[in-house]
Amino acid sequence: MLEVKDLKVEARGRTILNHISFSIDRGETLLVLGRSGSGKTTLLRALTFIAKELFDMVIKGSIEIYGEKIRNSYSASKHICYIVQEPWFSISTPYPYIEIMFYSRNSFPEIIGMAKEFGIHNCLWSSTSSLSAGEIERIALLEAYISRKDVILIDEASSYLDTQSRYKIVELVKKLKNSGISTVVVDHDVELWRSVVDSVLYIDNGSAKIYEDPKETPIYDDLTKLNEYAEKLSPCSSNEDEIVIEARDVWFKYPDGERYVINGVDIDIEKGGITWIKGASGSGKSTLLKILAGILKPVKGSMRRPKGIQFIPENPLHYISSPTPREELMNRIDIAKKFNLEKALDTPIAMLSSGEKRRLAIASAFIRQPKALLIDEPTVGLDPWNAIHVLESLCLLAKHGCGIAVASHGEELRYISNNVIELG
Amino acid sequence: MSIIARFIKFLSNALFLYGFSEARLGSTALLTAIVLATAIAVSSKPFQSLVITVLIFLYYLFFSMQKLFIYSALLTSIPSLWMAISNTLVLYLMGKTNIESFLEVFIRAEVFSLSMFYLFHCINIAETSYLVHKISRTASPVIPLLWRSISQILKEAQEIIYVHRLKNEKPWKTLSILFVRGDEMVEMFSEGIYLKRYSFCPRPIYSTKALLFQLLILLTSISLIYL
Repeated sequence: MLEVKDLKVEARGRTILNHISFSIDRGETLLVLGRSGSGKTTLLRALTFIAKELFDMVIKGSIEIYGEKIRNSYSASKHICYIVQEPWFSISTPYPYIEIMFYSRNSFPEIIGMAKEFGIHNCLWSSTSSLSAGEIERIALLEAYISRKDVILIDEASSYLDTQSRYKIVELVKKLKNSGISTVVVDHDVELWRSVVDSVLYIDNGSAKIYEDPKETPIYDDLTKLNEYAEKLSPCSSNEDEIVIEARDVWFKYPDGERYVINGVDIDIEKGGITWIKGASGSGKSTLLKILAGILKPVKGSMRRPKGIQFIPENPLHYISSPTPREELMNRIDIAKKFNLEKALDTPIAMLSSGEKRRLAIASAFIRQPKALLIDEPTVGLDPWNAIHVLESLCLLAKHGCGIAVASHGEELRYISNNVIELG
Repeated sequence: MSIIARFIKFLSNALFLYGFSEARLGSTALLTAIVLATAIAVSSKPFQSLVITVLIFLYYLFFSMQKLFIYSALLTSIPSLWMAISNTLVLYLMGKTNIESFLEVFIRAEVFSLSMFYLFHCINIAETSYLVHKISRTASPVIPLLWRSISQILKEAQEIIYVHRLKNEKPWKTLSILFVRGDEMVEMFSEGIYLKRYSFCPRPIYSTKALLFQLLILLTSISLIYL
């Protein structure tokens, strides 16, 4: 059905992908694996011709779907649906209901029926900007299902999702398979996709090789070793007598909400310790962190927090305030080295990778020596290697006496946290 | 929280509170006519034009969106009060001050700006996109995208301002990051909807209840002008 022959992608004379060939049949799932920067996203962009038309890359080789040669984004759009890494940028209207109505020909009752099958009928009337990544991804998949595309490309399919949402997405991909839709999934979670993939494309330094089982790929061994390394990270030892932030019986609800998002939460952030606020998407983790930071005011309850708190939001770019890491870190090369940023010191912040942005934000907070650091989803959207780097950076900060509260659905936080608050 | 961050939060609440509602399935053409009729009514009969505001409030109440009205009324009261006070000051200097002229200016500004907010809150994106699509297929996806991105930008701007305040950053640095993030969002939306735009096909969707209510407000506004 989809046949790629000798695909080569170049950007400003540099080869990013070289001689990539693979094919998938109707209803098959291809998992694309590789380390960060190996060219996985570029492959998806090349298949859709976005690489050429938006990023000015040169595409050579042949891409065919059901015998039709794909020559530009218009011919690609007839067969392909593409869900980008940050899925909420795939939704162009303020309400999911409008989105699905505008991009399909189906009637309202048909849309409701299918939305029920995908478990998102309750989200259709919400504001798009208030939905979780998991909900948005399911809406994008529903849209692809309804519009009857032949192939769905999903970039970093599970990186923004909590455990429950990850399994829901896998179930939906199985459903798409059964209805004859093929999927190309870029992800790092090998175990998650093992039950659903038909073949694996492993990309390394721009070249690719096909495997039948994700466990056969070189990256599987790398990930196993990384997990063993992460398990050796020990939880930080806190000073239980010195509480930097104290919250008692905190309640909160949004102005347009009917229910309380935070119900009578008590929390102590200890000096030098790492408190992990865990819970599924929508359980109120980020809201609690914003209350602790003072961005949101609780409806009732008491709070005690010192001056000198720093808050790093889910998007680390919101924290950074200088054009380059060198300026952000006030030319502190020693700090750049500590956080593995010395190679990126003069890179404009917009050009930094997700991992670099996050480490830069933590390094910048480190310079300010805050009494408490509140950080939202520090490992979301990162590959496992970058996620471990971030955990090490947090440990470093805690060792210098900073009390840290981390809101995250990432299970890797268990390696470094000494206190866990579960919401939801 | 800084004054600017508070203001952005308030503005965000006044513009984008609540998800999709039947209230937003009336007609943009009717809403535009209501705004025009209100403009004429407030200029000729300012005190009587309060009836339009009452009807608009009932519209919000009927569709359970009254908080949106309250936030908007509070927000619009700032320029309305300012206009009323400055007008009173000018009259005072001319030796002609009276409470009636203060109220007249305040009500004029308040009633008209609330009708503008009403248009913004209840604009039928489906109908507007459909009409624009008939004129230009390239421009039509911009309508819903505009609504989608403004709320996103306001939400993020509020967070950036607050986070930078905790960092004790200079306002110009915060502003520059707002531009960098805006640029990043444009790039991400461009990639995210690049393929989809070919299959963009807006359809008008209406609610009879919303249409009838809007017609009632329009007829009342027109009656006010002529009676």
